[in-house]
Amino acid sequence: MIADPEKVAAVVAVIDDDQGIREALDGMLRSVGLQVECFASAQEFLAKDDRDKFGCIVLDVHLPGRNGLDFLDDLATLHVTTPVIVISGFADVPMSVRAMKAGAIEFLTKPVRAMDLLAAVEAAVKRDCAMKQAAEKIAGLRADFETLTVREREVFAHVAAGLMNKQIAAALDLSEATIKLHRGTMMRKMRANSLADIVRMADRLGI
Amino acid sequence: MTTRARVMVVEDDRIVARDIGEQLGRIGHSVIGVTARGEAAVELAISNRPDLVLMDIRLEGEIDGIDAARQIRARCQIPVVFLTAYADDETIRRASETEPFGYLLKPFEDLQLRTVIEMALYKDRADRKLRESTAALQVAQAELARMSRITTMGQLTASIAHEVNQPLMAVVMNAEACVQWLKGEKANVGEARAAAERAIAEGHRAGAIIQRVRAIARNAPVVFEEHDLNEMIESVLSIVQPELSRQGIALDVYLQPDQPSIVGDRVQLQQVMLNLVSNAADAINASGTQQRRVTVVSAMDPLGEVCVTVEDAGVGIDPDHLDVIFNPFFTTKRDGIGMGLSICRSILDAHGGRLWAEPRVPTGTCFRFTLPPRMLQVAP
Repeated sequence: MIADPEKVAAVVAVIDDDQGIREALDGMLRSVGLQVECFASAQEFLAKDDRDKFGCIVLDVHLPGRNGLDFLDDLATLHVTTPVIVISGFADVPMSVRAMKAGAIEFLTKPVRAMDLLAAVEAAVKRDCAMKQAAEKIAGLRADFETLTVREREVFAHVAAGLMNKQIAAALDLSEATIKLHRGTMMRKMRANSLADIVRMADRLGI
Repeated sequence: MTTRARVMVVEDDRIVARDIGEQLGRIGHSVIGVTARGEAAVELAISNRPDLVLMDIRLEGEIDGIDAARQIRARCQIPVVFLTAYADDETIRRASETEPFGYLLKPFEDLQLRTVIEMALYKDRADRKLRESTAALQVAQAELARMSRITTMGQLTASIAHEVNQPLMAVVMNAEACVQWLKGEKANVGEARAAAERAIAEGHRAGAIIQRVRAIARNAPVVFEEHDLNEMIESVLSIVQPELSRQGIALDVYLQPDQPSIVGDRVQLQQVMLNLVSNAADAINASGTQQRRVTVVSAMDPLGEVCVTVEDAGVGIDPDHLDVIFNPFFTTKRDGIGMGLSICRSILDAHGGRLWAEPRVPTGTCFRFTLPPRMLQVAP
């Protein structure tokens, strides 16, 4: 059902207090080649250190003690961006709205059809991959930016703002030759080939 | 006007038996059986159904007239009048315990016999009427209890449906997994079998839930049987638990193990639990307390009675109302009819137990009921 399970290296986290449901979801997701880890409660999941490996969370909204929707809020507070698929026994509209607002990407009603769940998991994992890749890119960019000297960062900012070497030299009270030198090193360190690259990077880095 | 009664005579002296027969004939009654043995008297009473038994106390055979009377009374409710020459205190005491309809010392005159028989027959008719109306009352009470039970169960419909939905979903998921494992060249039979087995287990789980619900809602006659109280409590709690968790209320249960078994009607006692727990949940919801938990405890008290407590930190009950709440039609709920607790109390009364409410500090209420253990319980 999933085009290429090999590609999906991510692990699916199942959070449900009902052992029977947990085992069933675990078996079903594994049968299509997904890796699964089950948790009986939100607390159990949050106690986990390597939460990064999860590409998707399948969450029962009726968890004991704390509501599954409160858990969604917790995730937001903890900056956990893993996409969440909410499963509920009661399909009431207010709850599904709340779930979607709290960041769930899909709201399914029990009994859930395997096809629907798998489609949702696939979409979630894809979204998670994309988000992780984007995050990695920014992290790489930030790492490159960290290697710049104070002077090179100033040059970077001015280049990104669209200033000519001459203008930068005037602004920083340096010679144009020195600016050219700094600019060359900066471009190399940032792995940028053009002015357009620098502008885009500045945008991503929020400079 | 004398009614002509069919009388059985139990007398070990044949001559006396014949004399009594003649006396009965003279005062307008007929003899439908004579025996000199206690055992035979019980059998004859059951098969011939006389209107009245005249019973001598000293008899032939293993059992005496008092034992025979006790058995006849227990098995076919036929009135017994003792006719005897013995009048010592011990004999009279034993005879009284069988609740005889009369006691006549030999020798006696026609008029005395006639009066005693008239009185016995009259008392028997009165007793019969009382038994009939008591039975009718019990039927009405059982019906009322059932209606209230069904109302309570009705409030649980949503969560019961949810509870059945859980295993159903698991069944479907496991079956889909099973099919998936069997697909293609690399079919994994081991995993497929495990999934199928899980589906079976989940199917049984759904069945068990339905069975528990039906056991409470069924329209069955009241049966007093021996039960394990803790098992009974757990079974009810499994029905209300999902509804409580839906309302965000936790359920704390402490059941003291190895309690003596109790005798009672399972459905009615479960109804009491159901009522007390859902009342507790209502009290919590009405109060807006942060302590959203219901505590259920079963324990044996020093007197050997089994005591069950249902506690909440909800709105609590006005101390002046602690007893009034058990009156019929007393309610503080807008949509209540006020029969729940009144029915609960009558159920406990019928079980030889007690039900009462105590205020809880600082807020909330504690409902307690006690039941005598099986050894101390008298068959109703």
